[in-house]
Amino acid sequence: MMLYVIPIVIGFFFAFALQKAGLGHYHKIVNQFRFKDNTVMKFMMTGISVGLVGLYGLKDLGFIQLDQVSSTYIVGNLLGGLLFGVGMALAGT
Amino acid sequence: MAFNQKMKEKIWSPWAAGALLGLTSIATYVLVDKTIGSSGGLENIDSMLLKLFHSNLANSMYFKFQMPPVLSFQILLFVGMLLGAFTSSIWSKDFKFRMMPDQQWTRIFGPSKLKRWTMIFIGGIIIEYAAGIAGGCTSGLAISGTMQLSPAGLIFIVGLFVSGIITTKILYGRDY
Repeated sequence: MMLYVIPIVIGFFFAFALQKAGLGHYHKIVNQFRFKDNTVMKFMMTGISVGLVGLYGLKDLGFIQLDQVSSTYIVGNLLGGLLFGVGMALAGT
Repeated sequence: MAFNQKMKEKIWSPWAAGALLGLTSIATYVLVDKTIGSSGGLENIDSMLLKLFHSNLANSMYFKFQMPPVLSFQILLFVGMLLGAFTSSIWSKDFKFRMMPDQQWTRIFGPSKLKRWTMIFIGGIIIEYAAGIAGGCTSGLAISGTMQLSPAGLIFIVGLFVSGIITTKILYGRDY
């Protein structure tokens, strides 16, 4: 039961944060690429900073193991990123 | 009540919303030992559909082992995401059925709905395909990956911004 409830609760807070930052709107995403509105960058960087401190703190205290690190393959990550940006600018999502 | 007032605000400071995202990611790691991501769930759904229609692709290594046709963590995440975004937008009275973006689009590209829907459809295909190549999307790789200091996330962010800026420049032309 908890196996199903926990992911739903996590998704709830995730989308709640996204919606409250206004990232459901077309102009927020595209204006980041035009540097008229830095919401996306601020949102991402805060999320990364808070998460990084928390994760590494918990790891060093021994509560968690960082075993889900995304694998790096430079060509794939870079090509994927380059293609992703095109889609993001087209769709604004 | 202060809490209710805050929830009724349409837009929070990005710092506050970002902090909530960071805390959510930490909770995910602690509770289920996974990272937040959203593109993988779609591929699990693809895998289910391929299996349902007995496509040969369903037997490929990718859809059999990498993205198996099971009710994965990320599909359940989608259910929660729909609920979360719905609650947030209803509470702040931001909820509305939109055929077109509220701002900016009409001024730049004109009132054609077909143009908007074609572009979002093509953009969506490119996004999902690119996420498959890179191994994650904005949330799964750029945010969750960088959070664990994986170089993959940083490389992805660089690529995303380089081509995003160029594409927007081409689309907007003089209005950039």
